[in-house]
Amino acid sequence: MASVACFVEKYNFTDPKEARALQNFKTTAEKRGHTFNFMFRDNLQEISKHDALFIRATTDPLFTAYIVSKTAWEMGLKVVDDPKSIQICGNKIHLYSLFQKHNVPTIPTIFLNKDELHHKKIMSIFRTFGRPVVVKAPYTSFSRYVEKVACETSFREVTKKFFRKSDVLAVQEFMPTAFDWRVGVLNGEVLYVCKYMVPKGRWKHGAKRRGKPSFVW
Amino acid sequence: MSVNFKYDCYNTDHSISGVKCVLVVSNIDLTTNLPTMKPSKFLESSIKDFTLNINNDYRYLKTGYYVSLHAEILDNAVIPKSENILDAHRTPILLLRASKAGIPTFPYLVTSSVKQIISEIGFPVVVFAVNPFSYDGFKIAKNRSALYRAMKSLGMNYKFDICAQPFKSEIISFKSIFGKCELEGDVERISKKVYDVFKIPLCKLHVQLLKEKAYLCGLQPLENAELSPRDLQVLSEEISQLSKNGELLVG
Ligand SMILES: Nc1ncnc2c1ncn2[C@@H]1O[C@H](COP(=O)(O)OP(=O)(O)O)[C@@H](O)[C@H]1O
Repeated sequence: MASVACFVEKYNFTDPKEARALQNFKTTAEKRGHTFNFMFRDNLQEISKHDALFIRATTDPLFTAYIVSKTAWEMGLKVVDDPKSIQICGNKIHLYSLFQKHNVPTIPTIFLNKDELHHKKIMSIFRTFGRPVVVKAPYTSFSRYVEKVACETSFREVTKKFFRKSDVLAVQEFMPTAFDWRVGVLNGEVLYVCKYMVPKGRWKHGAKRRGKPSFVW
Repeated sequence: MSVNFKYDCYNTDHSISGVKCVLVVSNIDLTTNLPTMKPSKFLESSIKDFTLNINNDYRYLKTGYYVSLHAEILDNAVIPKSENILDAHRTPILLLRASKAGIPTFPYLVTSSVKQIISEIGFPVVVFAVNPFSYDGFKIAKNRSALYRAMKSLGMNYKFDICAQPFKSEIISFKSIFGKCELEGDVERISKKVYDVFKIPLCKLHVQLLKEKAYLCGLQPLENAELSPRDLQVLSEEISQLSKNGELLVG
């Protein structure tokens, strides 16, 4: 039977629902005869003692989660999410480039690099996509760095902010939707789909959702 | 290792000295007879050539990273690979992969706990940033308050972990150009080995020398201004040399 470490950060336990879900993982693993221990960022030297690592903290090459994932991978553990997936899915430029390459239908997207931020370019983007357009920082999650802009001034404002961290950004046509899907995939197989409802009167999910839950399983 | 060209060369002008289709993408002005392109232009192109990405700064999310990524999306062989860029610039992964490849390193600790560093490493200790934004990488702490200050600044207010290593002797920092450096002996050997593992053409390495043995401690990007005319010459020569020998293609 396997010894599973579950990498979490403190924030994973602030929402009682998430805390319960984590506990469910633990009991399920234990029922099946595995050991399942939460591992926080100050216990990383314990990685090598385990057979497998399950990451529940936000997976992004910017964060400790990548270090944890790659360390475990190098040490021969089974890892979810594996470092390559983190590298791809944690970066919208990477993700959308692969979508385009493999002809996965996507919202019309262009990549804007820092050296190209000038009046003519901005105007040509508005001409191509219409107004507003959606600007995304590659590292966004939970809609945090996804903004809608309709004029040159706000385009410049938002891109200036996002360019501080990333030299390339994604710009998309605005295609509002009432919901989107979260699809859980493990080992190339779809495990579940979850419908995310966009709150009424808004065009994206917030990092913090108030009121009624906006998920439908 | 023999080399197979998987991809067609669209532009025959790219053939030089037996190595076909090497495109140098660089934000640095180089004197090379190889076809060269600015990163912003390459990012808009779909040129399917062997891509040699020369940049003073390869950090994640910077242009140097995106050039390698773009080359990979185009299925081009590229130096350096985006994965190696990512790993080499995160000290714990740098050290882990380096030590697996036989490069001497000291034991390290990834943490945001001052207490843990004091109990497991003690003083003096050298602290490297783990956050990927940091440019100049490390601080040496000889006591608790210096350690708190180092953790606060390198951890961006404790938001990120840091990577602590024992400080046993002076830290030597030097430029590494395709694994070549101006120092000799064990330091030179380490520089070459780090290049062999990660293939980062341009970077600054930090090592500690203990009884003439070098231990790898960290890697960071160079500032453009740090590149002397002599470095640029070495860089250009290396590029020409590597493409002549075909070594470029052994990624
Ligand atoms: N091009 C777009 N047009 C309209 N709405 C968008 C567009 N892109 C994203 N959104 C909305 O913004 C939200 C977040 O976008 P997404 O790309 O999933 O970023 P994140 O990974 O930060 O959640 C989604 O809920 C989606 O409905």
